Amino acid sequence: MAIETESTIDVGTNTVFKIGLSKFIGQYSEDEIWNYPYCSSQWRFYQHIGDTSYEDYAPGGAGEPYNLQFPLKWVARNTQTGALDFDPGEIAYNQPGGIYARIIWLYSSTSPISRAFPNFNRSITSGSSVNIITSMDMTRCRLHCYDVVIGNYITHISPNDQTNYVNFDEFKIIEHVGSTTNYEPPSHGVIFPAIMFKWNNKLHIHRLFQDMYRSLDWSWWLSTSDTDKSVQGYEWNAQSQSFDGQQGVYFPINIYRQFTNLYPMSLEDHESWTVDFNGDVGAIYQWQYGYHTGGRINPANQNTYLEAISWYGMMFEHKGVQYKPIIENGYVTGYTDNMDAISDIDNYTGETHHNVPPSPPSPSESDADNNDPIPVAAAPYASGLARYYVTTAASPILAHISAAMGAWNLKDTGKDLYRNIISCKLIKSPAPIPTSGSEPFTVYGIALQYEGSDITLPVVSGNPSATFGPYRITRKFNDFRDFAPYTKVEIYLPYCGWTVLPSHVVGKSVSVKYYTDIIAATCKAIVYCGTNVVAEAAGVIGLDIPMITENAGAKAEAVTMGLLAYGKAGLQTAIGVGAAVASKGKVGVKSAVGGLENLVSAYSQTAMAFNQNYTEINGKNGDGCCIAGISAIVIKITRPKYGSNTTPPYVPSEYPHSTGYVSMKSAKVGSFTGLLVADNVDTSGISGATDREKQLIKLYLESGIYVNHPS
Amino acid sequence: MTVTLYNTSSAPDVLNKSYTAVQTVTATIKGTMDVDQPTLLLNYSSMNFNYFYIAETGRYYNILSRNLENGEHIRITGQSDPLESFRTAIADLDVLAVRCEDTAYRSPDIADNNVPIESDLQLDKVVGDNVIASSAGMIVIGVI
Repeated sequence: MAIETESTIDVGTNTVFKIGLSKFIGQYSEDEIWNYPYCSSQWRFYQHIGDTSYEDYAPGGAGEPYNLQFPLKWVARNTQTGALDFDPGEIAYNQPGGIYARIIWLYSSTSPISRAFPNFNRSITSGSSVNIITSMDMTRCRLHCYDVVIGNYITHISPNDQTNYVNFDEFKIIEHVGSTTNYEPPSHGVIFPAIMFKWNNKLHIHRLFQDMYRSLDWSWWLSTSDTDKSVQGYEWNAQSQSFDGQQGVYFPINIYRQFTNLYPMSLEDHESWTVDFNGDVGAIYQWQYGYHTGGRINPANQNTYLEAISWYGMMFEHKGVQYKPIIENGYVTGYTDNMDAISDIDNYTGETHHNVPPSPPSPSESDADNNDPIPVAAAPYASGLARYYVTTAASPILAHISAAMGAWNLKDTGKDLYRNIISCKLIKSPAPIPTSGSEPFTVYGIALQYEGSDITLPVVSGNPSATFGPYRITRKFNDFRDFAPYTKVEIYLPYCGWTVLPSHVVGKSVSVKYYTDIIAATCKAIVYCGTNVVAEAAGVIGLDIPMITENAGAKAEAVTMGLLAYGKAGLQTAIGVGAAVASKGKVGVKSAVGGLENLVSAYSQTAMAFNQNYTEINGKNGDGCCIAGISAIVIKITRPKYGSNTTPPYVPSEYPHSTGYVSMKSAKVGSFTGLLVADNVDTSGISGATDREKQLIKLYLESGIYVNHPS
Repeated sequence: MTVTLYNTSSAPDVLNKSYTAVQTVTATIKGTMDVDQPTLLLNYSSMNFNYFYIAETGRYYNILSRNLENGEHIRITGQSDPLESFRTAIADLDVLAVRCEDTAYRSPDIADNNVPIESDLQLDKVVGDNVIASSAGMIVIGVI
């Protein structure tokens, strides 16, 4: 899987980033080497100014209460959903270089360094001075070590020492001797950075730690000497009272089963995960130890510890796709969007500097969303021998031209200027038509004049194009129902009509780019999902004004031949043809002589089938004129329904318990909770059971059992 | 024979049942005893149990029948509960889960034909930008 390294990711708007914490160990530097001790931690956001300097992006300043919150706070929160996202209405960014996130690992210390950090709980209100983030350079996310640990325990705090690093694998509990002065690590200890994050509305705790980090009166943690006990429904936090406010994280936990495994828990959106430091926590302590000193670990149990698998690495969501780290050979080798992939976290060593920065991985060759751009060519503008003048449909200049041409023809000079007008179209372009400046309206070398002055008009110099969007197509079910054939996504492309989009755009954003051909009055709408083309449609952006002798394109030659044969009479015939066409729209056609402006006026108000001469349009919306009708891009998403379709997971309430979700995953029976239906179970490993009992067990497992985990 | 009597509210298809002990009693067997379906005469007269364990067989049993004999002894016939008797080994089995309640093992993007879907559909729309201007448009005249 190719890994992007130095790249800037256009996150668009409303991109949600959920980043877990990383434990990478290495040398601190300003380049790509990561330095990741872990301790207490917080996120800070920095704006690159050039390549070497940065300034704090988060508002606020020194003196704010230190507040460590998980999941990591972003600079803005969606007050509607509680999701952490960038709201361009609240955040503005107009500086070059991009924004990147930096995790600051802090050690609690005697020095009030915590006060120097901003409060991440601060929401950005509109009218603030924060800038819009138009892109985020995820490659510059890194962990910044301010303080170091040497040896197996914290010996000093050295803000200026940025060359040492800590290997927390070697960090061990030092025996508590009951006195703060004799306590090692230093009394301020280490605030344990719970490595967890909210993902798909579940709190994931993947954490393997074999050491207890503690301070005395500040830190709390849960530990148990009984490894078979699970602590469910209680909250754990690390708190430091040496700072204002609460420092730490509080979260409902349900861990300590077998010391391992991922324990996803449902977690409602929380602005902050505060907890009541109530008797329940104390009760746990009492329950576990029969000893409670308001948070101090029982020295007799100091060698006990908790274990739970935790994530090490950056997880994030980018353009509707979520990524989590791949850990191989002891370090992060990349990122995957397969949330079910199991990283080899247990063997993470972090002793190399090879951890790959967080960037969305390039998709595999078989992935339909391969990011290799599909080349698209715009229509070249080539006017040939003609010049194309442009003006607004309501411009009085048209009347002047009509009068001037009519007057010229009336002179009976033998020259019919109308024969030199090769096209006249009413165009409604999706973007302004580029022009090269105004020039005299010259027909057959004759600069027409009106009331003694040259008639001048801008000259077309190119084909306009325009991009619209992006438009996000949200998932609703977060399951198979979001895709074909259950969910159907269609897009109405003005000028073109309806077309169906592939359902893999669900959960992503699409944008539409129009390419035009002004001379042919046609367009091509190309629908992108990221850099991938997912649909295209052709349409027309204009109408022929049949006051001229011929239409552009296929009809030109025939009409010209007709004119040559009939001269002026042929002109009338051509008008008659135009009239015949026009009559379908119930519009009377006035004499072309002096009537150009009237025709323009008439046709611009008519929705009729002048486009019948043009190519059939994919998903065309009937016979309506394509420059009238629905003028906006509309994306229609047709989704399946269950009930009111308002309550996730949009299944009957008893469905998970009575029927169960589709799994097709392998694991030990004991790792499940609740209903389990297994397939073709091998019971040969059950020692002591009779054949009949094995058959019964097999029958139970294959018809469904309920796995209970009694407390 | 030593029999521990329990009360359980767990259904038979529950792995790791919850039960509370009622009494440990002695029991006698008449003739031979079927390990899978033992019939025992308990030295006990109350009906306040619905589950039992025989230490000699190392198995838990659901009760098939209970009869009070002579007002003093209960004769029970049980059916072995292999789910409970071998719960540790079963929990350690590696299996392929076809369906489960545990969302941690759910594969949401695999189609599930059991999920009810109504014939009525929900229509959502995203209205994007105006592409076609509301103005009267532009006239482009090609001239030689």
